[in-house]
Amino acid sequence: MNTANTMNTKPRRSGALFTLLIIVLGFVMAVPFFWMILSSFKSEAELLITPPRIFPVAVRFDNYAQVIYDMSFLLFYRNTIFITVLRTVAQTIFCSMSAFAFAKMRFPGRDAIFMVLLAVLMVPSQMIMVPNYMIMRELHTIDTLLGVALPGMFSAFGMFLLRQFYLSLPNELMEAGRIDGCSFFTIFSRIYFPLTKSAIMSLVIFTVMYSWNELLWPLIISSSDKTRVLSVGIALLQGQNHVYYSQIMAGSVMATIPVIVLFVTLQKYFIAGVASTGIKG
Amino acid sequence: MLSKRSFFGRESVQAFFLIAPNSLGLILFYIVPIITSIVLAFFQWDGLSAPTWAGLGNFVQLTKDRLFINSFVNTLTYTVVVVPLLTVLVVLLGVLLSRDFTKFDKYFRTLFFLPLMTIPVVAALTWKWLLNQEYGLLNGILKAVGLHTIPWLSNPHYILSSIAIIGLWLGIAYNLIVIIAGIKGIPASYYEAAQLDGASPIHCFFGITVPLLTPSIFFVVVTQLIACFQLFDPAFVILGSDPPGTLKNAANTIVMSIYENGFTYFKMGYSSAQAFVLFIVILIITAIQFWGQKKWVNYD
Repeated sequence: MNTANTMNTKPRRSGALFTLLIIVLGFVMAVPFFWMILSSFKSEAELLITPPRIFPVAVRFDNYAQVIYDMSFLLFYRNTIFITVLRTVAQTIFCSMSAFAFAKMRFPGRDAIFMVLLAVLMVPSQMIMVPNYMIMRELHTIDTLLGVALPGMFSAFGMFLLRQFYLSLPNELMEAGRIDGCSFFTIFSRIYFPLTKSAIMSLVIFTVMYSWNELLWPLIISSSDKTRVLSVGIALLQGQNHVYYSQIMAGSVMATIPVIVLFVTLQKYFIAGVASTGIKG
Repeated sequence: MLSKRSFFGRESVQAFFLIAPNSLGLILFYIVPIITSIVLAFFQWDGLSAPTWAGLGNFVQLTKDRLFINSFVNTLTYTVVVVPLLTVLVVLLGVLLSRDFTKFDKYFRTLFFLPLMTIPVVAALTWKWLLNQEYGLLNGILKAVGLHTIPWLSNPHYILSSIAIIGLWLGIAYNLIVIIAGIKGIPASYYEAAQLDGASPIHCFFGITVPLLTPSIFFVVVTQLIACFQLFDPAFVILGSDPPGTLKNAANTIVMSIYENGFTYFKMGYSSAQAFVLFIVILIITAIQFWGQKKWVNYD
């Protein structure tokens, strides 16, 4: 009690200084973010003023309109959403099923199979690009949305994350279900799965962010705008004629908005997920 | 009827059905490709005609390939600079942001997490604009305060440092979450006891925070070592469609080299050999992790 009091009285002034430090550093960190938004409203001429002016003359949406109507931006958007949803749904279902089986059921070779699948996590994803490209060629899925989505529909990380969660759930639920004569699939889908909401939310936000951010694999597998995702589409915008930074920034802002919405709504699950993977290593 | 029912009723059979989708997907799109990639490293292949056995030829060629050696040295330099800087920054910021000094702190903390919500490609493009030599904000500020402007992205001496700035900016937020979670896990009673003994904040930082934070710090260092070796997005965006030249040599990375050899020059075997080198590097880091964890991480 006493220490708490002395702690509160003495550092009040230094507390304000620390808050000031947080504000200053925070704004320094946020400069690129704000600069992206400000630049997206500027005209070509305004971009080329030296020294640069901070605020645009007016809030104009020309750049946004140009990106939407003159470039395949809405197509990139649709592709990204399609691939992200497909991967998220697939990972949620597939990873949950296998996590439940690995955590709660007994079958021959369980631990060995789990370790082999987990070993995938040690391998850099760039190593499998060439072979996967060849597999997609055999499956005739090059330059298709399914081809972009496929490898990311399965996950060793998701399986591991959810298994840790299933391990923390009581085994008694399993016994109760067996006594009632339920199949293991029913026990999984009716009893355990609904209890894993918070872990699923962590997985969902990880999958969405990974899918939304991914560059290398879509860059390889897509060869036309009809299958390109936002990150590839925006990266390739910069090489085109008559595309100005203000337009690239407008596209960037639009690509970023869904991530912000997602992050703000699911923030606590993301932080819980990062924190748990961080501590368990 | 009865036997069929008992077959599908068996625990192991149902378990195999449950693990099947994810396991088969991981086998087809991860495990088979990993093995194929290792095998391909010993072949010469353009992706179309039949692969021809090359033995260690690809690896011998790697040791003489100036471009690959360059990309390896660049990636190593980037890693050696970014990982320690990022770790120190994140620990200091973590201490600063893990408690409320005043009631306003929580509103401004969000600013530190904005990079997390930015697509790496978008971040790199934004930085490319910020660092533009003539019209960029950063050089504008330098000029305004009477300093020389810096050719951030157009000079081979600066380009890798500029990419490192982008990498740091992108990496801080995620690792900050790990560190803050670690700091919040330290019991407050330790600090109270230390304060009773008259320990200064600096003593508390080095005597309590850092030792008890070693698991989190270790996690950050290991994951960042691995992530830095896989550097691609910012370098790809910054270099754009730059033709080969001194600028490209100064900022090429291992993964860019793997990508170019595989999908620009269609040297699939050679590309796989480079991927194998990356794999070995990451394997060594992982091995050090297992060994080091026991050695100096304090899990108590």
